Formats: sequence, structure tokens, C-alpha cells
Amino acid sequence: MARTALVDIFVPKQSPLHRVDPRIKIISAILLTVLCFFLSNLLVLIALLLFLQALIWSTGVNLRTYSSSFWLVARFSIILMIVWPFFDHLGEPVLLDLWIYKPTVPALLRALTVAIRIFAIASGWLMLLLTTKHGQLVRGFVKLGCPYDFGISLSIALRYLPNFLGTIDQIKEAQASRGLDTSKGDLVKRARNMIPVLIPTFAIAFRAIEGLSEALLSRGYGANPVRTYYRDIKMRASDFTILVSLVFIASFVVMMKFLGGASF
Amino acid sequence: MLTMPTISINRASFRYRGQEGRALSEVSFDVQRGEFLALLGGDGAGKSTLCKALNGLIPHHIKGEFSGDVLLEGRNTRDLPVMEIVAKVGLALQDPETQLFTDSVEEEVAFAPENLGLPWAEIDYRVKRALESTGMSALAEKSPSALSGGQKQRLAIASAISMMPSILVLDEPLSMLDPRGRAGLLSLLDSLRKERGITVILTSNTAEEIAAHCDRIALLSQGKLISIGRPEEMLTSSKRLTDLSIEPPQLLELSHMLVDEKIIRSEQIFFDEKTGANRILSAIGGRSAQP
Amino acid sequence: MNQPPHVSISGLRFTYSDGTEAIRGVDLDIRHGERIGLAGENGCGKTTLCKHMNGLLSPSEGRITVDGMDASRMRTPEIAGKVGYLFQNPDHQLFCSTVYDEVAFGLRNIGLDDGNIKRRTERYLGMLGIDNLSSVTPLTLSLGERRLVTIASILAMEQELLILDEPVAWLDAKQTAVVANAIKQAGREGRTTISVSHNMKFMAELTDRLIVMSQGRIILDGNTKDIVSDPAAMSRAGLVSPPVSLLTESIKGAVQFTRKVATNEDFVGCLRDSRIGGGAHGAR
Repeated sequence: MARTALVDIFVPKQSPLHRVDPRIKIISAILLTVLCFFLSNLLVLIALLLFLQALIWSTGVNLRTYSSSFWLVARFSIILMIVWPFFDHLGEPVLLDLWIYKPTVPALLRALTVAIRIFAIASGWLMLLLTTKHGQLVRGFVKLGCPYDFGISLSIALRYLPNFLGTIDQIKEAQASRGLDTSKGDLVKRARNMIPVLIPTFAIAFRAIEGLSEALLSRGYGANPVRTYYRDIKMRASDFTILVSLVFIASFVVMMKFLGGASF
Repeated sequence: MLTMPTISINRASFRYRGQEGRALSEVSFDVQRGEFLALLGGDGAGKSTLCKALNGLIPHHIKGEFSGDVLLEGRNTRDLPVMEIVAKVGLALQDPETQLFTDSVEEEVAFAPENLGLPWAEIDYRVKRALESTGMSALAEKSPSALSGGQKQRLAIASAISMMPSILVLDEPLSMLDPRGRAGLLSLLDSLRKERGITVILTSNTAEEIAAHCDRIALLSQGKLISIGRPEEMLTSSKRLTDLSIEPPQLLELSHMLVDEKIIRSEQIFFDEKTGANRILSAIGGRSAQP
Repeated sequence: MNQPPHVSISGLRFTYSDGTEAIRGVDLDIRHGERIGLAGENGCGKTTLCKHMNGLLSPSEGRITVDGMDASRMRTPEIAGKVGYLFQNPDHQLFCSTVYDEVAFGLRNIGLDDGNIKRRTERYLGMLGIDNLSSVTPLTLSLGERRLVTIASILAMEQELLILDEPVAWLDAKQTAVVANAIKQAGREGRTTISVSHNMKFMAELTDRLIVMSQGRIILDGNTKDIVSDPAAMSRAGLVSPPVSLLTESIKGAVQFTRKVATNEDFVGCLRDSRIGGGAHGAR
């Protein structure tokens, strides 16, 4: 059940963020990603991160979803911070001296900065997924210029990925009932024992893809190069305001960085 | 005066690429406008292949060798652009689970007319009518994955009829449903025929339940059309049906047993409850008049 | 018979991790050799209940023992030799390059020697009429044939307890007959079978005891024929009687039925008992 948390995290509530046009949210996530690379002041980044968490909580997300997303990124960041001193041992004071592993305070601070950046970027994309239904997300990408084929592939992936992961569990159960033990034995044996799980997975995926493409074609997919959209997305005044503000802030930061070397 | 049949299949044959045998072999028959035709056959009889030949997937999208002709209102599917065929023939494939992919029931139903590039107002009209006809108006904003099996099947049909096709083809729509779901689906098809005059073709490997709703039955086996006619003509021998791997109606088998017991005569065999009750009662009634 | 029950369930409750209460208190004893039918609408908990019997799920509350052993402590692969589970979707299991290997797979896992593997594989391929497909790759077969392969692969393991999820779904008439016979054979050889199905005609012919569930509880438990032949009880349970039972109901006024009618044989037997028929002079 926790597996589906990745793609199926839409929060079925109404919040200000829910009402923002998907295109704006996509652009925000992209701008945020780019912006984070321009920001190197740890305090500014932490403030930004806290601000983003406040936005996330305003969506009404439940604790379970939030913590599983949080831990997903946290695991990655922790590993990063642990591994960092292998490659960066500049600065004083030095905390440990173990041959090639020399963590120093400045280096750890640099590692932390990168970790916070990753969290901030992830927060931007998380906000997008929490407040945008799959269909709207796809419409957003297509209206921003992606081809419709990409859009529908994305729709299908978002729809079927949770199913797919669930199917793998069902396959494990079915094979366990025939005596297949996937948790015992050495690494080689365990890898071999995954074959009776992987092959059916792929077979099912291929059959599903074939069936789905026939179904889509039967419903006229590709029949007319010009498509109409029934439930479409529309920009409102508030969306334009947000867009303009975002562009303004982003440009300001970048400009300050290049002009004055301001300590952002 | 003959009216042109809505579908005319003439010696249709098809072999899937990479397979040895033919999935369809010289199949020929006509279907009249507004008819309800059941295609019965066992595993591998060619039912699904025939469905796909009716909506143009064969020969336009599925690779293989196709010969013969399928005419829709006189026009050959080979010559018609897919866009036109798909607007005439709605197809609901076997497992609705693998056909639904949008966020809501109404978006799912709108998918087909959207693909045709129809104006918004037209799409809105068709979506609302399709939901009404299938009794799903109250579920318009629900997510397809939250629906029951029977509701998903209805949604698959609603998604097919939003094209306003004149012909609706359903491949094994009953196999995934429980008895209540099956009864509901069959009565839905009856009302669609009455309301819109749609020609309905469905496939199944069992004759139970279908016999009471369809106008004609076609028996298929190994890609060939064995026989086609009214239910009373086709459902006369349960052995013949089981030899073709088709499950006979339970009451047909019962009536054979009653003939063996000399309770009814061989001309009196039946496959539905009402006729059966009448014939048994009159046979017994006659007897009890004997001293 | 003083033998302890094959399966014993008391006070079973089960809640999924997302909070759905799938089983809300089930008490059930199943004796060795019983042929059980398990029915109910989708979501009633029948599959969840079955998965407790081979260790796939552990109760949230209550106990379940199989052959005296606590089922919640058993790991599914270790119990595979005692409890067989046929899953609904054959594509969840097929992966070998030949049908033969597919059937042999389970047998190898439960530790049979080569001689026995060969003997059993051939026996069950023959029983299900797919010996001609022995060297074909299962994934290339039709849906019905794929189903037959998985049925063969589970039946060949000859477990004492067999759980079959919709064993005849998606099978055509000939395939259904073959599978029904194989299940009857398993019954004759003393195996306990639990068949989950919507098909009441099948249940009437292949099970002796019918258990109907609804919303996580058992609402009916009794002789299959008694239940199936009673359209009112069936309707309350959300099920439909087979056509022959409905026919019986509609002519009950004019004909005396000496017993419950759930199959064609029952119907004809009753007419014979009432001395109707059996002579050309009778037919008019």
C-alpha cells in the first residue's frame, strides 16, 4: 500500500494551491529547481524550505503521505551527507581524520546546503503532485507545449503504475503458494528466485499495453489530428498574478547574484 | 424489397502475423439494422478476431493477412478511414480494467468524441446522453478505479456509445460479471436498442441468459461460422453446443433428459423457464387425465 | 468421526493496513474431505478469508489453525505442500518455457524426486487434456489454455487442502467439464476443497456445503443443494439460483417435489419418484 504513495498522492481536498492552474504549478516547480542552484546561503535555503513546507501543509495533506515522501528524500540526503567527506575535505576545523575520510565543518555545511537544496526542489514537485489530478497535470504539460502523445503516455503511466506495483505483490503471493521462497538463500539464489516474479510481470505489462492500445484506437485515438478537450484548464487573474510574481522574484535573485554577488 | 444489411461479411479470413493457423476462415454472414446478434464459440473460436474485424482494427492496425470483405452500410472497411469506422462501430473489449485510464467517469466517456475533434457543445451533449442511457449520471465525477465490476462494464459501454455508433460490439462482456451484473448488462443492451436503434453484437462462450435477449445466434468454431439462425433453431441440441465448446443453457440439457424419460416429446425441447414450465405442465396435465 | 477439523477458525477479524475491515468475526470449522463452496459479492471478504489459510495473511484478532497448526505462524512457501491455492489470474504464475516445466515447478519446490515429478506431471497434464501442449511455451497459449496449465500445476501438488479461486471462470464448455472432473477426482482422493465462485450451477454439482459471506461475516452456511434450491434465501444473500431451481419453483404448485432441486439430475429424479413419465402411453 505504501508503494502506491509515490504516484497516487493527490489530496482530495480544496485548498488555494489546488485552485492554481497546473501550468503555473509546473512552471513554479521548474523555476524553483533552477533557482535553488543559484542560492547558496544556508540560512536563506532553510527559510525557503520552511516556507515551502508551510505551503505543503496548507494543501491538507495527511501525515502519512507527507512523512513517506519526506523519508524518501531524507534517505537520499543522509547518504549524500555521509558520503560527501570522501570527496570534499577542505576547510577547518577537521572533525575526523581517517585516511580518505576527513569530514570538516565547512565541508559538512556544504553538504547540508546541497541536501537542503534537494529537499526544496523535491518540495516544489511534491506540491505539484499533491494538488493536481493526473488529468490536469497532463493537460498542463500539453498546454505548455508537450505533444499530446507524451501527455497521454504520462496519463497512462500515472494510472497504471500503482496497479503494476500491486500486481508484483500479487505475483509474489501466487508464486509463494507454489513453494517459491524469495526471502531465503544467498544473493545468487535470491536473484534466481526473482525470475518467476519478473517474467509474469513483464508478460502482464505487455499484454496490458497491447490491450490498452487496441482499446484507445477503438475509441478513435489519433483519428483527428485536431483534438477537442472537454474538461480543460483555464488561467485566471490570480494565476497570472502568481506567474508574474514568480518571474519577478526569480529574475531579482538571479540579477542580484550576478550583479552584486549578494550573499544569497 | 430488400433493405441493405447494416453489416455484410463476405468470406472474411485472417491470420495473425507469426501464427500458423487462421483465426478466421471464410466467415460470411449479414447483420440487419437494429438486430441483436450473439456470437457463440469456445476458446480460440475467433470471436475476438471477428470483433476487431468489425471495427477496423483489422485490417488497419493489427498485423496479419486479411482477405475477404467487411462492409459497413455498404462501404468496405478497407476503404474507409479509421475515423469513420470508429464513429460507426463502438467496441468494448473484454476486460474493462485495461481500458479505463482517466480521472473521472465523464472524462472517460468524453475521450472518444474528443478524439474526433467535435465541438465542445456536441461533446457535452453526447457525454450527458451516454451517461443517462447507461444509468451513470450520478457517477459522473467518480474515479473509474472506484467503481464496481458491473459499473466498470457500464462505463466501457458508455465510453463506446458516446461516439453515437450505429453498431455496438462487445467482446465477452459477461465473463467478468456476477449473475446480477449480467442481468443488468443485458437489460441495458435491450434498452439501448429500443432507445437508439443500435445494432448489438456480443460474444460469449455460454448460451445461458443470452438466448432470451438476442434475435439470432451465430455458432463459431476454429475460425469458421458453423451456423447462424434464431435461438429456437440454434439451441436444439446441447451435445452439438458442447461439441463446439459452447455451454448450453441448463434447461436445454434438462429438456433432453425429459425427452429420454418420455415426459416430453423431442419437438417440445426448450431452453427458457417459461416455455419449459408450460410444456412440462401440459405434458403432465395430459397424463394425469389418464385413468 | 473424531478427527479434529482440517481448518478451524475462531473469532477471526482482519483489517487491512489502510483501515478496511475485511473480516468482522468469523467462526468456522472445516472437516477433512469436505467439498466447500464459498460465495458472496465482491468485497465480502471471501478471498481475504482464504488467504489466511495458507499464511498469506495473519489475523488481526482471533485464531486460525490448519491441521492443528497455527496458520498465522506459517510461511506460505513452507506450507505450499499442504495447502494449495489456485489464483484467479493465470498470468500471475506462468513463466516457464514449457508447460511441462510449469507443472514441474511446484513439484520441485515441495521436494519431490524426479521420478515422482515426471509421473505426476504426466498424470495431471493428461487429466486436464493438455498433454499435447507439453512442450509449448505457456505464455503463448490462449487465456483458457493458460488457465488449464495453472490448474494442472496446482492440482499436481496434491495438497490435502485445496483452495480454488474461480476455477472455471474464462473456461469454455469443454475446458469446464475437464476441470470439474479433476476437482471431483481430488474430492474422491480425500482432499478437502474450497471453491470460490459466482457460478451456482458449478457449486451445486461440485460442493456439498455452501458458505455465503457478506461484509466480512458468514451469513449462510449449510447444505449446498438446500441453499441453492431456495430462490428466496439466495436472493437475500445476493445470489441467483440456477435455472433448474427457478423452474422447479415455478411449477411447484402442480408437481410434488420430494427433495430439493439444484441440478438437472435432481429434477428428473423427483419426477421419476412422483411416478411421472416412464412409458410412451404417458406422453401426450
